[in-house]
Amino acid sequence: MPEKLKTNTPVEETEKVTPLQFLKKHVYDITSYMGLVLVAVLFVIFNSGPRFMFNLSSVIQTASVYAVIALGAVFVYSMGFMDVSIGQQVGVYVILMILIGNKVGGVPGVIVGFLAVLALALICGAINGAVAVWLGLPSIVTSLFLMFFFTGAQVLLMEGTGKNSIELEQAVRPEGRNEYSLMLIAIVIVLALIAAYFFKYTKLGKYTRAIGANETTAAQSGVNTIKWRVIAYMALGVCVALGSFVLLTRTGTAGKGSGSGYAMDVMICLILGGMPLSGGMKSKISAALVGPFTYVLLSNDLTTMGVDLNWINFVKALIFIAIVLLTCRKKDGVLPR
Amino acid sequence: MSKEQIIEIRHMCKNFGPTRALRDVDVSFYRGEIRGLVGENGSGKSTITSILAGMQKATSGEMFYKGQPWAPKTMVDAQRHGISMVLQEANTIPNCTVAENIFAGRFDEFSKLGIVNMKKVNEAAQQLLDSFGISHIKAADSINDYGFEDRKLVEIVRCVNDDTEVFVVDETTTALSLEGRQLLYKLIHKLKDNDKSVIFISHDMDEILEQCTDLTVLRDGEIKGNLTREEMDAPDAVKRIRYLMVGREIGEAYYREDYDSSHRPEVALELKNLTFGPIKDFSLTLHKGEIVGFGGLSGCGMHEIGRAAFGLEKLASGSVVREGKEIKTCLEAINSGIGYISKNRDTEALILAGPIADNIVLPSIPALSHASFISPKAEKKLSDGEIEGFRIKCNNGRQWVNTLSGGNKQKVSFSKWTAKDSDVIIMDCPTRGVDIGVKQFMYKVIADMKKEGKAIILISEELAELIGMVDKLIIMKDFEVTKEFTRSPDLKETDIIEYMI
Amino acid sequence: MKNVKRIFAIVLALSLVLALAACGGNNGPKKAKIGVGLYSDAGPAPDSTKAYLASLTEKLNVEFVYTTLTQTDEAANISKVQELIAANCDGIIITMDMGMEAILKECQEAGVYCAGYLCDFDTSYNNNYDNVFKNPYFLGTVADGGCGNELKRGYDFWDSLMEYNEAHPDDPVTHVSFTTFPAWAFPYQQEYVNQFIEKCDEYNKTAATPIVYDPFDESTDVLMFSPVDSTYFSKHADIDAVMCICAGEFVYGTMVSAGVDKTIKLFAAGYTEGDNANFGSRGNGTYQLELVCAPESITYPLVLLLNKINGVEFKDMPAEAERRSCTSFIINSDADMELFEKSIYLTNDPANALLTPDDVYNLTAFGNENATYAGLVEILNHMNIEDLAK
Repeated sequence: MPEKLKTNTPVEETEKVTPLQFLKKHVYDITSYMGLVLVAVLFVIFNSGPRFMFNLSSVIQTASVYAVIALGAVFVYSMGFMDVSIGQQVGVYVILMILIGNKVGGVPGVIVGFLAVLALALICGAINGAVAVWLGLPSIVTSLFLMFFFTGAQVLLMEGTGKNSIELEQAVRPEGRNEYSLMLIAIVIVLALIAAYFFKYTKLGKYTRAIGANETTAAQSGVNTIKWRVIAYMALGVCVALGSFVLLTRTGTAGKGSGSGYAMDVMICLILGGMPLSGGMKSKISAALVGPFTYVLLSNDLTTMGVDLNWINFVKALIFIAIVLLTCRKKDGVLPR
Repeated sequence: MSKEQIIEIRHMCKNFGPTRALRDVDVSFYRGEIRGLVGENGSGKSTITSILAGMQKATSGEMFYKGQPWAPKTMVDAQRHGISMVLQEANTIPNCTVAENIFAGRFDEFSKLGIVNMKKVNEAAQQLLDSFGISHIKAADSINDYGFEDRKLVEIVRCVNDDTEVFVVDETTTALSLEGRQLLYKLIHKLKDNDKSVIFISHDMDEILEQCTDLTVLRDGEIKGNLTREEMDAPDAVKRIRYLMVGREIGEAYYREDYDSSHRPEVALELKNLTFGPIKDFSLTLHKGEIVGFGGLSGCGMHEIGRAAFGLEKLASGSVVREGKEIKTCLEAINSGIGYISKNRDTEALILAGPIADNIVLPSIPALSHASFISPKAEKKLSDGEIEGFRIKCNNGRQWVNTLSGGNKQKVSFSKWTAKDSDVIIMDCPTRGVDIGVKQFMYKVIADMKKEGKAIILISEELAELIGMVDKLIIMKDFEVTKEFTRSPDLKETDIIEYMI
Repeated sequence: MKNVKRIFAIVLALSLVLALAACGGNNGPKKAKIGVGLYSDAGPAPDSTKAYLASLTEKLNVEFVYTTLTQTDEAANISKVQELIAANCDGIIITMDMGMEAILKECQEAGVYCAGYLCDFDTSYNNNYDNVFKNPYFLGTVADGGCGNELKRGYDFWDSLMEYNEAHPDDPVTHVSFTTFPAWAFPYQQEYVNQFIEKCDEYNKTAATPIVYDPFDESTDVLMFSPVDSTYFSKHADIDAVMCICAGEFVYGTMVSAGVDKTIKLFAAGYTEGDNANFGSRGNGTYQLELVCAPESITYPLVLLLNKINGVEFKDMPAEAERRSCTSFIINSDADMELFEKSIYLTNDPANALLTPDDVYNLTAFGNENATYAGLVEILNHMNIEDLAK
């Protein structure tokens, strides 16, 4: 019997894929990579002057904070969830690192401050992941709660200091601009390699994508969805803590508005990088690198091209809408849960 | 008797990426006939009708309807011109009344100055329902109050009206109860008698042979043969049709051939006094190498038993025990070696928007993970093995599941658990919507599993399949066990049916 | 062949020298681009500032680009400054004291000078003097209302109240309350309240009808950059006037909705569009005082930046950056308001500006070799409401 069954193994003829079909299939990847190439080329063209290196390092400074956070956010976004509290978390973490760092003093102070913030970030991750499940709420609700909570915390912490801006006494960045850029690039590369490993070759990445694609199926296939949801949010937490540190190296100070807008910026970066908001199998780690650099280079290009600085946000919004329209299909349900 | 041609299709081709779903198809449909369309999954039956009914466009080719070139823009457009289609999937609008569903898009007929007279709508809808003989559905009720089968009937009422010239039934009967089927049969015969044309797609060979006046067989996107009523009545018709469909001899072996209902002594899974929902005090002991079947009508509670055995139901009392350990969640079930093929393939069993390979390996990931690392090579080896073993029709493992035909999707759902090498597999309607070639293959897999000592729960709405496959058959009705049968060559469907209804 | 090459090289070198000489031969100031980081992108103050600067572009050969800074986020401000540098600015005017040390590091790195406007840089002055005010790339700042030790705004409020009572002997203000912005943002506003109270206490010792003030209350009287709560007017039930040390717009709206805009007078710092309709004896006569800084005071940072960009210096230029006060328009009568309405602040017409392009040119070291730093500082003292009459 088995012999007979084997007689007609249907083998599909593989035909040549037309360029159009290829384009359609890879529209996410192509638009995002083409976008990065385009803004990079424009950057080189419009920055041929003596300020090339200066502007390049400005771009690296801004983009690396986004990239560090986005590398963690990829795990949450690939589940089709999001975290709107990122910005306020960053604000509070930067303030706490300064307060603790100054209290303890010196390099140990910075380390203690960072570890404290890391612990807090992990707790927030657990809250975002677990409490949402426990209370049967969408994760966006708990992250909204955290957002309000941290907004309050940030204001209270700053009012406690009685100052508009506080400063870390210990220097945390190399004096030279180029050395600083190299340090940032090193941080981003190391973190990207780690994140890529977890995303591509471990349960974390595979399970978060499966949850994003179909949570019921994932659960019925042996994925402990609650556990991995929590872990994914904690991974984001680690990256938010790291990103806060990177931001601190840039400013050395913090205020009431530190970190504001980061949640949306990270979301925009990921979308520009080709991340589907609905998560799932099309999620990709490269979005966390491509997106931030595209986003920041775009701002820089628009500035150097002479677009009125107050119009830049408007132009960015137009480009963003264009990309969303290009890459998303209604069928996929692009709105985050 | 020469019949009037109503639809003519010439040189129709349809490509989905590299897959050629239709290859230069020429076919005509006539008034006064019920034309059966049969073929394996992915042979192109639904592709033809969906192009005809305006759901999608052909890659090339021409269509003529009543002698005029025919290119419907949408399904609504096609319906307005007289071509209606009922689909396999649910297509009603939730949270609306039955009447609103029936007259969706046609409210202007009932409105004066923009105000819709809902009373009139309800009356008209009820009249329509009655005329179809479905008086048990009330027009003013919410559609949510009705089950899947009744909703299907509402859909039929919606798309068949006086203007309907061509009526396409695409695998609708699998979703219908016995009563519903009778209604549908009556309807299509009435249409035929009124000189309309019916196109009837089904996997149920008996149904096709009973109801159709003509038959067209498809394979791999090509027409392989046309049978007249006389040919369909020939004694070896079934064999001939199957041959046309599969392109080779099926052989006699379809179900299990042995009647050995013995099993190994070790207990594989125990359901102890399960009470949950409407189910009271249900117990079952499943042994290694045993196939226990559940039969009954779809609302009888057998699907719920399957879910409970996999830890998906919250039990009021009782327990599911495997190897001395109580199973409370589906996670524990999977870890203890239980697999579950859900009846709701597209929503629960598969990640449609994902590669075949990822679907297959998903339950096996913990086993593939070594010190957190999951080797892509090992993953590929495992999934390619299953794709080959199950002969899943695809270009490669990276192809997305939603590009596969129903039968191939079902194979993916099946292969998840063979890849994991689960010892207990709960199968809920594993062959639903699957054509005979695949069915035969699955039956062989199930029989082999029994030989390997796997324990299987087979829940099915097809009695022939249960009789052909299981060692012990449990029949349920209204959430209670009404009868148990043991495997025997003498067991007949008629013996069983009385315990079901 | 060799000769041809040599001749070619000489011609090339000559033409290069000539071209350079031609460039250098231009007598006007070097083409400069100045980035202006304002605190808001709309409203009469930013609009009139832009109108004033626009009138100077030709004479001073300077181009302006604008951006908006934030009051709370250092990182955002650094990015804005980096954008200005990316846009090829040679100098930057800043209105916010947020992240100054890091900003100046950026400016220094890019060789871009920086100066302040409408901001006393108090945080930096007190906590980070060495890194900000001693930084060679920070040239100084100008702000109204007095910087540090020159505070007098509380007295302005008191004087205006006295003027009002003299003008309205039948219906004098005898009971007042206060509002301020929080101390972390504007540390001196509390001091202004104290100045007012000090004068008031002194006055009440001798006055026939003393003026009562409600003691300052942290919970209701501090506005978090949002409108005052409606309970303010039940808490301060019997007042005749509010001494609004901060922007009047945050109080006026609530007064209207509480229905007290006709009975209670508003003495405010800062002008918002449309205030003039209800000023003095006009409209419902709510506003009785407004303090406004002349947009022309931006001349101070502008001249300092242009000097640096053109590579010239005042002989009496101080070694370290300074913060200077400019006088404000104290508008507390109908006549004052009429004058103010003709100023560039409300007309956006540079013809009404206190300084013409030629005036400004003559203030620079490259435009007028006799120009001095003292001269530049001196004009800041001539930005009173009376100066508008001239």
